[in-house]
Amino acid sequence: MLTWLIWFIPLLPFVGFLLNLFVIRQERQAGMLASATVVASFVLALVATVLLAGLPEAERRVQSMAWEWIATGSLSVPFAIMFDPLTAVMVLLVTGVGALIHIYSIGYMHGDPRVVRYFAYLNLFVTMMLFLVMANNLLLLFLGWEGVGLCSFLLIGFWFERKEAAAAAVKAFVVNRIGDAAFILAMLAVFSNFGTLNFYGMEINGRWVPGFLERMPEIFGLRFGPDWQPIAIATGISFLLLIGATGKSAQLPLFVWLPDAMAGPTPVSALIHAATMVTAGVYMMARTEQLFAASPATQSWVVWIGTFTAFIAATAAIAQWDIKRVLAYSTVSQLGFMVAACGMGAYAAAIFHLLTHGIFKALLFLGSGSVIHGTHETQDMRKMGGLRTAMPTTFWTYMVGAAALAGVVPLAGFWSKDEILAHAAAYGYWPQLAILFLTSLLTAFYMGRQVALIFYGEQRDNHYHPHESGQTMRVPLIILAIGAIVAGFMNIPTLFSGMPAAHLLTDWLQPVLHEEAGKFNLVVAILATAGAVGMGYLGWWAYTSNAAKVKVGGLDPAYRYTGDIWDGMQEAWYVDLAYNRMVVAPFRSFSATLANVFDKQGIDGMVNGVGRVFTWAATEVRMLQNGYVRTYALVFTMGAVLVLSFMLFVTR
Amino acid sequence: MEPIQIPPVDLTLIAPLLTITAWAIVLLLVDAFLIPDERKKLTGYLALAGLAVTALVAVPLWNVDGSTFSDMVVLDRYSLTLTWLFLLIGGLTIAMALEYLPRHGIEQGEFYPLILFAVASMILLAQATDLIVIFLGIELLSLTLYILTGFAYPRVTSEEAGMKYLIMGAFAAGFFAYGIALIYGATGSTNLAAINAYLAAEPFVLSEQVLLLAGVGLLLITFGFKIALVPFHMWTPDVYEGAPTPVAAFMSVGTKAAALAVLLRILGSAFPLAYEFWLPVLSVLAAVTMLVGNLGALTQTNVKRMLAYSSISHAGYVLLGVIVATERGVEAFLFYMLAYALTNLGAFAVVIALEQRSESAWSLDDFSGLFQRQPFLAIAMAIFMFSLAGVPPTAGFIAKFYVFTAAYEGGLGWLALIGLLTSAIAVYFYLRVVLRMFTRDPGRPVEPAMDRGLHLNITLAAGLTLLIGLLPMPVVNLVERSLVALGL
Repeated sequence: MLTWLIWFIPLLPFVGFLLNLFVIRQERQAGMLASATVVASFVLALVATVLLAGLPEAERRVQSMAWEWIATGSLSVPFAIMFDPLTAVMVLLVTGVGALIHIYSIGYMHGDPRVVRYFAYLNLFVTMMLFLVMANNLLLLFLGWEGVGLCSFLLIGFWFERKEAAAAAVKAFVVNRIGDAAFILAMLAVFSNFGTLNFYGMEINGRWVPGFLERMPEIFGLRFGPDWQPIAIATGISFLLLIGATGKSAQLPLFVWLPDAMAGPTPVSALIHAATMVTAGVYMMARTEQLFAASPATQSWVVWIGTFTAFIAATAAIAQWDIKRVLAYSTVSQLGFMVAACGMGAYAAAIFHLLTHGIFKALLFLGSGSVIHGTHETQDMRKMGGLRTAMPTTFWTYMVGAAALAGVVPLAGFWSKDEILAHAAAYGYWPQLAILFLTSLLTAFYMGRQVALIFYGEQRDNHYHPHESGQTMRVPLIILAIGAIVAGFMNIPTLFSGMPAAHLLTDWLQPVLHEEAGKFNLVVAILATAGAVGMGYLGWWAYTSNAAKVKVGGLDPAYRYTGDIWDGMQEAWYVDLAYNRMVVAPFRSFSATLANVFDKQGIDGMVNGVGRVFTWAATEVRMLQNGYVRTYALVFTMGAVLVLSFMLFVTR
Repeated sequence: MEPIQIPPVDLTLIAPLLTITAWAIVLLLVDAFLIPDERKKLTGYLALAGLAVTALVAVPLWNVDGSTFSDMVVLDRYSLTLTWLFLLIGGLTIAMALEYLPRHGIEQGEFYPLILFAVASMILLAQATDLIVIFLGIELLSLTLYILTGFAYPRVTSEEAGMKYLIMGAFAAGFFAYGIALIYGATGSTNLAAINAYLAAEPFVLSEQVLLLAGVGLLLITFGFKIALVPFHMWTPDVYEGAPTPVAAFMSVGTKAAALAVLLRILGSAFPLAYEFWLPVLSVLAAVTMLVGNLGALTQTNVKRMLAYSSISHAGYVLLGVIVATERGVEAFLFYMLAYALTNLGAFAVVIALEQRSESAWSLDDFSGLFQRQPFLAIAMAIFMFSLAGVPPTAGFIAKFYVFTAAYEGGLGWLALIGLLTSAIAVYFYLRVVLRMFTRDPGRPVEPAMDRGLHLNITLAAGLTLLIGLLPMPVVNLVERSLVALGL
């Protein structure tokens, strides 16, 4: 039964997409249909999970093939999905949080002229994400991987009238493609070394096709022997996968697209940039955990990339004025925690944090959406203040989300973050532990700052009358807030011996991740929660008592103490700027030069005036693509001379 | 004196070629004497029928294998698959020309027979196993293309394009003829198999064979011109822009496919032993082509020129499949050509739908807000753009994956890497078109003119592009059975 049931989970939203694209023209119907399909998927996912739990532990993996996608030579890739404990929790997160965001969108997007298309894209997005987490091979995973990239492109640029939205959409897609190129290379390498792209073995048309994860032991059995080659291979592949993950999961050095991506509608930010798309990289690393485990070199890269990303993004989050950019950098930072956990081999903890973060970050984004909605599209926190009376539901739910993110006992974020820190302590990752601990303090600080700026003090800009959002927006907030409170208990550590229902998630994931539950570390827990409460209070106190000094165009109260450091934080340590200076600008001048040299007709305005460095050279030779056949013949002849001289002289 | 021996000739082996040539000649006469000026579309339909008949004639030959005309022409499954591909390209071209020609006031009946002649010469190229016959095929193809490029008389740009192509083509033909002469001088034969046999039998150092190597180099240069590899590509944007759009579409896929098919056969059956000489040359050409093609497309705001540069870059990708010279490489080449032909012809068809009589609608701005005005066109164009960019689940993705896998396995990993990186760049300019269509409001009101031919063309191309992306196996099975007997 599971084999056919699981197909409906991705297909229902897909049907919703098709109907919304081609049939439905009415706003109300579009929203209802889109939400209904995702809710139905969620229910099916629950049923499937229960059925899966009913199977004996060793058999908890269902694979189902629709047709053989590619078969040539020894390569056989099925169009097949699977359902196992890891997939189950991911599917539940995607459809569960996704459904709430769909419902919320009905209220948030009300009155938008293109709302039908919005819901179509949203449905397609969920479909692609489900294919990503349900794929039983790398190629189908890549389909979902590109698919979510595409949908995020469409959704980030949804309000294309805003120039920055269109630019952000392209930036997101192009940066992601850099990671994707690495991903394809990894696929080629996996295929040429293992002869298959399937994660696990399955029978295809009467033929047994092995899975590369299962072939790991036989190939890497020599790991500690004199043969270093398997390690080299594993390092190569896993490093390429890591680059792919840094693109999708917004890690250093490819995180720059995510903060800009906040230009999309807020529910989209919640869906794409909190609960689903950015988790793809972490999911992929957990799925191919055996490959990473075989390469200590990659693992140390993973852990350091995660740690630094967490820290740098947290510092950037402190110095933002835009309500959503704070959350965006916070997302990057929390993803850094997950990636660092992967690098330490604590995959279960990473997935745990992924799940709780998916819930409370969705809550925070939707809460910020409610604030933006209720303040008539205000995003600058300097213009807010004192909103807690006008929007009580938003305020209370936001507080829950903020506390969960800051890591206050016993909310969800505390348990999952603590598990990562405890693991770092248990396995001796001391420098990383110190940085991550510091980061969690910063996290509490910027959340305290944000809450103070939005909800406390006096309203600093009276051009609008804040109001609470409607029912369709409040209900998802409340549900998510409850989730943020209780979600931590799905993997609560063993606090005292004989405690029932401890580390359920780790046990559930055990067949996939082969991991034992970590030990509870009381010292770390106490330090972390005390630090969180203290820093959160500090942030809150600093910005409520200085609320009068916050104004548009003015400096942040903390600027006085930090100065240039604050500037650095505000610009996320100039990574974006560095890319612009070192990659984008030279690249543009280069292609502008090429265009000048080879073809000066129909040149895009974007490159005009950029290539100053090259223009002097270009003026000399820009007449090359001038329409004169003699120049074409000249270039042709030069090419011919080169080819012939190679053939006749170089090869001798 | 001995009487001249007439070698035995087996006409069944060239049945498709004979059919389409005869059909074209008869159609030319029928068109001239029987079809009135205002009903020239009939000629187009008759030409389509000719393509269909030829395709059917080829079917029973699937299990036939043999050569004739003193081994100058061969029939194998490789050539048959290519024949079908060429017929498909010709058919889609005619379908998009049916309305294009009258709308632009250049409806001359001979357009359709000319396309048939071009397809015939491409079929001849697919079957040729002798350098002389290859020369014949290339010249026949070029002659028809010179006329077709300048077909939009009295539009000056069209004539100019035709003239440029003629001059550059003649220039390249000289290289080819000289190359053949040198190779004949070195090996005493123009037959591909005989050349290989000669090279294999004689124990000598290849690098001392100056004549031979120079000849091979000259051949490579000619094919570089035909396939539009950098730096022999410079005519391409001008010619594509000036030529009538259906002709540009035809050239961007048809000529390239035919030339690559011949190149593959020449390299595989005549010069497999000299691979250490041609492989570096072609590798570098492929790398430079991928780079320059994509960078060139990056800055274009004219969609037709963008597609011209894009076709240059795709020649670089598909060249990987050719030069890796493994079975999987050949499969990848055939698959890529089919996927690319469908996609590119579809994209050009959309451009045609937007084109007006007196003015060109090739600017990016003319695509703005297309989704609001013509959702069908916009969705189809998006599919084509994603396929060209290699985004799953389109045919273009499977094709790229196929080619890169082949290159990687064949030891050309660095080229696969360049291919991957450049296709990452390519996304930017393909995506820009999509962005315009879906996320801008209409700028200048360009009313797309759709008709049955275009509609059918675009539907078929878009549908197949998606279908092959999702269910590539029938095509993969076909190309796997089409392997040419290469000297691999």
